[in-house]
Amino acid sequence: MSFVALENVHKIYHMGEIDIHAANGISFQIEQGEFVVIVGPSGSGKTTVLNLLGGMDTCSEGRMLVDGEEISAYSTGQLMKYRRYDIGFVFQFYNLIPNLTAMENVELAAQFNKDAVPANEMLASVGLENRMDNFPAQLSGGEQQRVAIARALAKKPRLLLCDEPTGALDYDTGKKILKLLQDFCRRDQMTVILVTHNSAIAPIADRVIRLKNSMVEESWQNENPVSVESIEW
Amino acid sequence: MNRMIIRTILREIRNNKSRFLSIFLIVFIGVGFFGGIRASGPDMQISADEYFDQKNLMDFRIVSTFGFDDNDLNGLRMLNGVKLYPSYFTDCYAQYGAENVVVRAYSLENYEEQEMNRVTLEEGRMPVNPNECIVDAGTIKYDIPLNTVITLSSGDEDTDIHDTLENTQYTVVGKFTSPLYVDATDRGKTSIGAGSVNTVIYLPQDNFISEYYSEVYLRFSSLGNLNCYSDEYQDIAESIREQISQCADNREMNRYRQLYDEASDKIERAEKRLDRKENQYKKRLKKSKDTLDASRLEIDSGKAEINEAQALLDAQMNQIGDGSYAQDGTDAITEGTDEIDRLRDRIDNSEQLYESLGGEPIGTLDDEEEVDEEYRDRDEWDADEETPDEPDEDFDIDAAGDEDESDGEDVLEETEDGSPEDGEETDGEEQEYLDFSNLDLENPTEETLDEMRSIILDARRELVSMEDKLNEAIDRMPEMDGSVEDMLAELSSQQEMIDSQRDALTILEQEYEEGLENYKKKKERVEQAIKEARRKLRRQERKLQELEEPKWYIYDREDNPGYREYHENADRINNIGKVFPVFFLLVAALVCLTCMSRMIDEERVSIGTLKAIGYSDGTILARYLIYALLATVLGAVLGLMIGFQLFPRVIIYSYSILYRIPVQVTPFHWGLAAASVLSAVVCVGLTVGYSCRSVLRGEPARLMRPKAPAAGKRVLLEKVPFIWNHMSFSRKVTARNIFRYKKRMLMTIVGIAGCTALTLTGFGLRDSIRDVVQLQYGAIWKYDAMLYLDGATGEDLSSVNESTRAYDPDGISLNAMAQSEDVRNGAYELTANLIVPEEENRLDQFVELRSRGDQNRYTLLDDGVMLTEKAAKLLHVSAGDTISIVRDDIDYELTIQGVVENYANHYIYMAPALYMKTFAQVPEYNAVFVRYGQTMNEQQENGLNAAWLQEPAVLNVSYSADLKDKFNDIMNILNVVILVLIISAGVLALVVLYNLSVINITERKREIATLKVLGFKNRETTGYIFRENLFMALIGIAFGLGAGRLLTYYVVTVAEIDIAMFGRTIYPASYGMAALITFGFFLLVTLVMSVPLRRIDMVESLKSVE
Ligand SMILES: Nc1ncnc2c1ncn2[C@@H]1O[C@H](COP(=O)(O)OP(=O)(O)OP(=O)(O)O)[C@@H](O)[C@H]1O
Ligand SMILES: [Mg+2]
Repeated sequence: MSFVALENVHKIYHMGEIDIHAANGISFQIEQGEFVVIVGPSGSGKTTVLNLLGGMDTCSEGRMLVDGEEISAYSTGQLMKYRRYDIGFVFQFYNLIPNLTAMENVELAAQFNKDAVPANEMLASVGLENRMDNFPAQLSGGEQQRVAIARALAKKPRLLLCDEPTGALDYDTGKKILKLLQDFCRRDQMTVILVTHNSAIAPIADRVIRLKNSMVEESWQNENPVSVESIEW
Repeated sequence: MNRMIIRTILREIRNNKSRFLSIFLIVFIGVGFFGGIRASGPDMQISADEYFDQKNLMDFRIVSTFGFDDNDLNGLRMLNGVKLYPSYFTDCYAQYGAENVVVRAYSLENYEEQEMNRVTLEEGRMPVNPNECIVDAGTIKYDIPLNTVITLSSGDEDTDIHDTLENTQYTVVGKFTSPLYVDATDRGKTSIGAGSVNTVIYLPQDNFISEYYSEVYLRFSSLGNLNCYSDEYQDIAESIREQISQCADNREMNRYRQLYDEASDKIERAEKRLDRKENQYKKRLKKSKDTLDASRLEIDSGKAEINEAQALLDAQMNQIGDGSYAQDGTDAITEGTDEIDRLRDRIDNSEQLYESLGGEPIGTLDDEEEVDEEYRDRDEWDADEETPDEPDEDFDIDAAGDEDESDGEDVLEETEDGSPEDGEETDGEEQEYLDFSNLDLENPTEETLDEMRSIILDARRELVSMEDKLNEAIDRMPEMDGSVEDMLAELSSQQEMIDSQRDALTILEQEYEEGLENYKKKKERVEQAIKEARRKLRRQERKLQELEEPKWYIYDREDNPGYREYHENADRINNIGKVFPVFFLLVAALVCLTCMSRMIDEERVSIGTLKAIGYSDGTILARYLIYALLATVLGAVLGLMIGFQLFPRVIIYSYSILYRIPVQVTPFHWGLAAASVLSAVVCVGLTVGYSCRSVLRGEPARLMRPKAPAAGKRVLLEKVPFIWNHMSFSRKVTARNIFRYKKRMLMTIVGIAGCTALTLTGFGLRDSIRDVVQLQYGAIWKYDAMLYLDGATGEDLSSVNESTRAYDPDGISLNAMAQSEDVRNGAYELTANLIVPEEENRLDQFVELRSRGDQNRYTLLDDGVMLTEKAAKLLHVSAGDTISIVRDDIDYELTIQGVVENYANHYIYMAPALYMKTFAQVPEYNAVFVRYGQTMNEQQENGLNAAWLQEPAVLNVSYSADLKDKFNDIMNILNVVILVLIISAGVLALVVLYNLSVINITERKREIATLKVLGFKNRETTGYIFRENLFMALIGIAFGLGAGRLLTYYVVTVAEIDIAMFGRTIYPASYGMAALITFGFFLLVTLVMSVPLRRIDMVESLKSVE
């Protein structure tokens, strides 16, 4: 049984008269420890899927299973705990708490898990051992994203979800972030799901899911995923 | 402006409902409060003015020491635009049941409505019979029930109430309130009783017996249309007062002249009459004297004659005895003939001399006798002369002259009646005839000739009688030898005759002596009486010289009890209206500022876009201006509509407990409204402009980029690692966030502090007033009752004290003098109660004399007085300074020994020795302090009351418990004011907090969503946001308590009425309540705002930066 399984998931937004199908019967499976990239054009429903997986939203129809638990049937309380202990989330715009230092931002999430990675180690492992006491405003976009990744990983989540983590970054920085994520995935056997509109990133993934018009267009396993350094866009 | 913009604005309002509502509400409250409180002072005045106009309240009242006659009234009628209302009043005692109170009785012209100072019937009906009256319903203290029969008696022993009033017993048929007496307790001063009027009654005018009006009320057409509290009224009234006092001077002088002339006329007439009478009396006395002298002479000559006769008789007896009798007879005849011849010769000689000197020839003796008879008749005493009038004393002013004139007259009359009657004519007196030695014959005058003539006539008469005697003797000669026996018998009978004559003479002499004695006495009495009458005249003359001009006292409305104080209270409300509302406006401006800058921040992208498209700055600014101003104007107008009604009504209603002004006029003040709206508009306009300034200055490109979130900053606390390292993340975030949003922090703290301060002021005000009750009737006044007596003697006092002790053996009492006095220090004046305890060292058992600050206890000394604190403040004096008590325009200086804590009324405490030294008179003890020895239940207190009032000297009794209850009633009304304050404060707090929370949440949506994604529980997210608010609220409350303390002091000082001093202590419970209530509002807002917080959609907020 797959680690993550979506079965005919629908998400419908009711906008007055009309219904918008942000997810229109999406199904796919992901195995534990896989580095998954979800690609698709703008408006194809990538973020919707990720939000549903992250427990930030509930689906209108269909089932979602994570590690055998049917999260689509979770109450808001259960969803909260699910987000708290099982999920790490990396946002396109970093979403660091501006009033906390890099270190504190990491600790903010790590406090939930008793055997979390110490914040300084975590930051060191993303290469920010010298910037721990800086506020987000004092860090560059890439550095901020690394703090965000550290924050997401410190509590040792079972599933790391990243929504366009390189979207606001330049080419090189983007690559560095991707590398970081790939390394963690390989090292800790962590399941990582990365959403991007950039198909060029797809070769580094163990599994690629292509969305179009709120449906899965194709989904394939990549037998030989390449390293981040070798891709270009 | 095009339709596009209008549509945008409307959408703006629809989209930002809560923001629009925030601005609307804060302006609504701010302007409503501002306008309402500001209108309250003027509305109080307008209401009073309207009431006074409705009731035709007089502008002036004149009282004269001599009353007013028609000439006086005509003089007053000459004033421009005047309406007169002459009337009567008298101050007297009214007794009903066991009570005896000092009343001022006014006349009710007809049984319907008076022309001026119309009363409002509150209960019962107007009098229809002369023996019915209506009583004052306005005073809290003296409440005479309907159908009571009251008996009036005069204020002092010298006057009889029957001289003033026809009836003295009246049935109370109604109760009124009068525009003359708006104060709830004060009824003015009087000269009777303890110096103040307790209550007022109206009697039908027929009852007043007096030829003069005792007072005149005046109304002026020039003042009728003015607000009586306006400066204009005061100015015109001042000039009218000048005119009245000119008229008064004139009338005073004329009236004086008239009185003076009448009186001096009378005195003059009396003087003349007295002179005339004195002359008459003197003449009569002289006649009596003359008569007496004549009798004396007669008696003396009578004696001599008797002696001579006796001697002759004795000689005859001897002759008979020795036989020489016959010889003697012939010798005597010869001798007699010789003597006659000699005398005839001398007469002839004298006649010749007389005629040679030019005298008329003297006729026969008979002719001459007739003439003489006439002379004698004319001199006769006329006893029937009319009795003299007594001097006329009608002019007497005081009519107190004693009428002993009649006595004097009796003396005079008696003198006339008792004068000795003319003595009998006594013959045979020895005379030297024809003795002209007294006459001046060298230069004979008419009189000399008359005299001579009468002497000659006398001599002739003598000659005739001598001849008669001689002839008789010659006739008797032959009989002589007849019989000696016959002779002897004849002689003894002659002897008897002589004896009886002698007896008669003795009686006559006695009578004379008595008459003389009588005369002397009478003379003395007459002289005394005349002297007395003269002295009396002098006295009256002196009195006339001392006669003073009548004095007119001109009173205006300010002299009505409560009239000025009400004005002052209105001013106080005005003062308060200057502080509170400004505070509200400040908060409103702050709220607007935050709302608008937040709104503009949120819309910076669209502003940038509009600018990029080509919209002008003005158009963009207009969009926000219109949005904000629409909320402002709507809020302001609605706020004013409610504020102009609510606040003045509540305040006027509250004051109606202290001042009986039943009219409430609360107009819409257009000027004030315009000013309020304008200031709100300007305030908000500036706020919007300020918020927009950075946005409008920026280039479109920069505006369209997302605004960088506010940078994190380290706070001071991080320098203390011991604390910082032990703080949880959320706490750290809170600590940093508090200082991150300075504007919001300021607003929260000001808003919360304002709410706390207002609430605390409400409670503090109540504490202050409760102090008046609790400290005054608990700590300061330790006595339970105070008895007022009238004209009490030492026996009365001890009898009162005995009956107290009989009822309450453990109770204690102290006699004292209580008198209301005018006290002055330079230009500062007030009325205070002078208390002189009989035993000054026992005063502390009844009244606590201590200073408020250090609670230092004082004892009364002989060299200074104790003055109560508020009086000292109003007189601008402190311990060691001097004040003076003014009695009859004389200042009696006193040194202040100490200033003592006191909350109600003003008192001066003085030792009896100092009183005697100062006023040179013994204090007249007219009051008794009583302190119970046991706790009394109502029944016991009633019994004691009855026992007291049975004492004839006791006028009335005031119980501390009653006064306390009355004060508590006032307190309950104040609770309404406090409630208004707290509600206003609460609404303010709610709006501020709600607005802040809305801003806080919208501003930090992303942050909150992130936390949610990170797995924060709802409670944790709520806490994350509200911890900051909580912290700021706590700081705000702390500041608010401090500010509230100051505000309370300010409000207490301006709201304080002159006669009372409010407490200066705010109790801990009030601080607690203020904090708790504010915190309650905070929790309420938190609770309300946790709902949208929970609803924040993670998906939505995380998508992108707006
Ligand atoms: N809250 C919402 N209300 C209505 N429609 C929505 C909402 N969120 C997403 N949609 C719609 O659902 C569809 C999928 O949106 P989604 O955000 O998943 O796209 P995406 O693939 O992430 O696009 P992009 O690459 O531009 O981020 C879109 O057509 C969008 O309009
Ligand atoms: Mg997306």
